Amino acid sequence: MRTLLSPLPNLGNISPGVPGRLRLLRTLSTSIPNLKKNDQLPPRPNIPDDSFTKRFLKGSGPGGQKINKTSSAVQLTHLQTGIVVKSQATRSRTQNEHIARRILAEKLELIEKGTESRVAKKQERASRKKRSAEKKSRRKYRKLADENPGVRAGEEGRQDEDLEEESEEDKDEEELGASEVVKMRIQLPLKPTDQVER
Amino acid sequence: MPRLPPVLISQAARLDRHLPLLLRECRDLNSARNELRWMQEAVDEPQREGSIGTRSAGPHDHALASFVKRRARGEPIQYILGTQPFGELDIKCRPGVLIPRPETEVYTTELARIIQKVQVEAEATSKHCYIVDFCTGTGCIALLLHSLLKPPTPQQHGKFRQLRIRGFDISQHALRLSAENTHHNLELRALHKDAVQDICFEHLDLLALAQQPKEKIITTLYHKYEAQPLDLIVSNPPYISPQQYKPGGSTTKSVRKFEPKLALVPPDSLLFDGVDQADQFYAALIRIAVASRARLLVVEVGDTEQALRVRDMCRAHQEAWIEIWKDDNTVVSDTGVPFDSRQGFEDRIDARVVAMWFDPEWIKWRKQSLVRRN
Repeated sequence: MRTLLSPLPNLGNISPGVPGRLRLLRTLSTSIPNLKKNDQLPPRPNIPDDSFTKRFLKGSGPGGQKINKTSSAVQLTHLQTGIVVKSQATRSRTQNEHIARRILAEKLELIEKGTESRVAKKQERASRKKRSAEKKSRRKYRKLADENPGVRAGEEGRQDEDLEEESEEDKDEEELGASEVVKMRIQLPLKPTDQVER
Repeated sequence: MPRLPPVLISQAARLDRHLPLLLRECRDLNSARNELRWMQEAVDEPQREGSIGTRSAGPHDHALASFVKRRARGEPIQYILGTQPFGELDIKCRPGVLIPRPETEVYTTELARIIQKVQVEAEATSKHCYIVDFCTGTGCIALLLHSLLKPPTPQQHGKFRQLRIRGFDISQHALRLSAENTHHNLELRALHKDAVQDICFEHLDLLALAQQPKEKIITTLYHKYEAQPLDLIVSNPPYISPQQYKPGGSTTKSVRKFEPKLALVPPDSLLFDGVDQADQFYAALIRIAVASRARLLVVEVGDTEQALRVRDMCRAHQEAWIEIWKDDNTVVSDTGVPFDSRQGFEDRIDARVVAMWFDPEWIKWRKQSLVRRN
């Protein structure tokens, strides 16, 4: 583990031709325009205000001062397609509306553009990353097991768990950013090793 | 209240041991789970700010359990957690002051949109905006209007160089809390820094003011602002009748038990003859709006019957363009003709707001924009 977490000495080994991962790590902490061209996600989709109807759930019956509703759920219905999106993630209606609107926009984009949409690309990127992480983790533990058969079982279990958690991401940009950074810390020093092996 | 089905209770218990208790007040699993999650987040929060250590189970679980217990007794979650999100704002809530309702958030947002538009389209030169919020309580309407008309982020800078918002309340608890809310939201950067000068909260007995002669009303409202017209009077006054407030009435137990009656039921000293007790504040507000030549008066109401009573009251008083807004922001016009919906009153969504337009220029603009919207 110790060698894995000391990336600096290894940095010099990365050949200038394949610095994609390193760049990706850097851009997560700064801004999107720095991304490498082929890794760039399409812009976040948006939809016009008048293309959907908005409903605050629990809307009927007495309201106002007589009852203190804690439901902050917001439901959007897309007029053209009839797609319904509901959000009750937070206590804030404003926040829930933002969330529902984003999900609706993503759904529509997915229908319209298919694999070229932002969501699809994001998903693809995540699964690509997961695959390579799994591959690396297998390789790493095979190596570790060769050196020290006692460590293997427990360590591997933990690593798998970590990966599971990380691959659950998407939706939220910050969440995505955070989990990717965590992942990179493990991956970065491994990369040069991979190349050496290859 | 119908009994909770035992199946539901055991289903809840399997998910989390706190859920059956929460079901007592929440009544359905979905909202019980939501509330539990919010309480959990509130309990975890201080921990998050500190160092990331191992999560000490003891005191946290204790805090959560006590939250759940209070909630099961019907205490509003806003008093337990201390806040309620309102637009982009975070409004502090304390016993003694009415909790902001989501319906209020909806029409206040719409109101800000209207004010912004009418100022731009009906009178291109106007840089002033003067708003009075009666019965302001936590200050939520006044503060949300400010956050929407003069947003804190510089790129979407508002058009109003001079925005004046005065919030009035009879309760000292409310005045303290509204001042706190201004500073709280300034710290959160949810309000523009000018809010300190633009918004003030003052003590006022609305019913008493409405009894005063016209001159007194004018000097009270225009005291520092004589040069300006009063653009908007907005109010969410007490509007529940004693019958509706009684046990078995339409007011829920949690509201009766924990929220201030002062903010809910108008006093029984009926100052306006021939006006229902529930409608006393509307009579006062209409008189004040007419005397001060306000351009627009917007009030929250409890139900459709009350909305129609307020409409008739206003019509008897003054030439005005009167609208009734429902919870989903659809507008029903003076003549009962629905404007931007297919249905009139017969559908299940209650009337929530009566908007009374007095300024001829604004009325002209409003009628045109409603037609355009159709």
